[in-house]
Amino acid sequence: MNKWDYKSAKVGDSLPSMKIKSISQNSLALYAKASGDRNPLHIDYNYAKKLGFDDTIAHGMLIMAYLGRTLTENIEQNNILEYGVKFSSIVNNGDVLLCTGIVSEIKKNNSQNVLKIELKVTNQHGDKKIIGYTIVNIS
Amino acid sequence: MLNRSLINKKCQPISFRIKEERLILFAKATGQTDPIYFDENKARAKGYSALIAPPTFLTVLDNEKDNLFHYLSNLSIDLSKILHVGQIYKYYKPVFSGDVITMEGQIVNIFDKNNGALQFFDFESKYSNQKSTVVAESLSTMVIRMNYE
Repeated sequence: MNKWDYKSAKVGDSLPSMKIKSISQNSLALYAKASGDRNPLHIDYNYAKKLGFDDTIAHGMLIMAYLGRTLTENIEQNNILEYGVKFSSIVNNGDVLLCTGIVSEIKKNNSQNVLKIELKVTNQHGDKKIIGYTIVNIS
Repeated sequence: MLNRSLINKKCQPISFRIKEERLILFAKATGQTDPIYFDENKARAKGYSALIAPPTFLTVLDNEKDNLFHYLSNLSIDLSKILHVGQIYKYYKPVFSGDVITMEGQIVNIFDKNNGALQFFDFESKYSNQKSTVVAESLSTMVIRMNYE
């Protein structure tokens, strides 16, 4: 844990990437239960079809949680000051995801020294699923 | 269509006790490997007072009660047309198992794109613990697909 020496990171350095093996109907059902988000769009194939989707789609917040895990596996959580994402496109059942990040800025925020890391989640076709950022305390 | 008079109209606050079982289930569902999220002894050994809530756990409060969705259905918005398009958290203090977190929220912005075909709103939430310490704030952006039937 915390293998990445983020406190000495420089602009352009990469956050260690993380691969999410596969989004399955099981992972969506488990996340629906754990998060309490029981929107049938994520767990009911027929309902998703009726709304015009090809299949059930992943909860955006599940993908944000996976990307968040990429952060906490490399950065102590109490140093994560801010974490934001935009959900760029739908994640389907069966997608394999890659979570990555690049340090874009090192600056002073109030009295703290902070890193800004630009984050991204892409699927097996290279399609962008999430773009995001985090602000990390390195003081 | 969302009426702009909804801006700053507060949702009813909700309070939620963070239970260990829920944290363990959430850790499992999101594939956590660090035991501070699911093994209390190991969390204590690392200096935490209890299991710690991971960065996106507060989303559970959004779903726990009718709250946001109830609030929207009162406004006659068809929930099946809403998609979550953005989420930002600002963290001030850690959240632990045993904490009672109160969430207060309101719509802070309403805007549209594509000549009104897509209508967006920003929902801001503030989360406080049992000591009335603000632990986090969030901003959720949702889109309503107006052209879908």
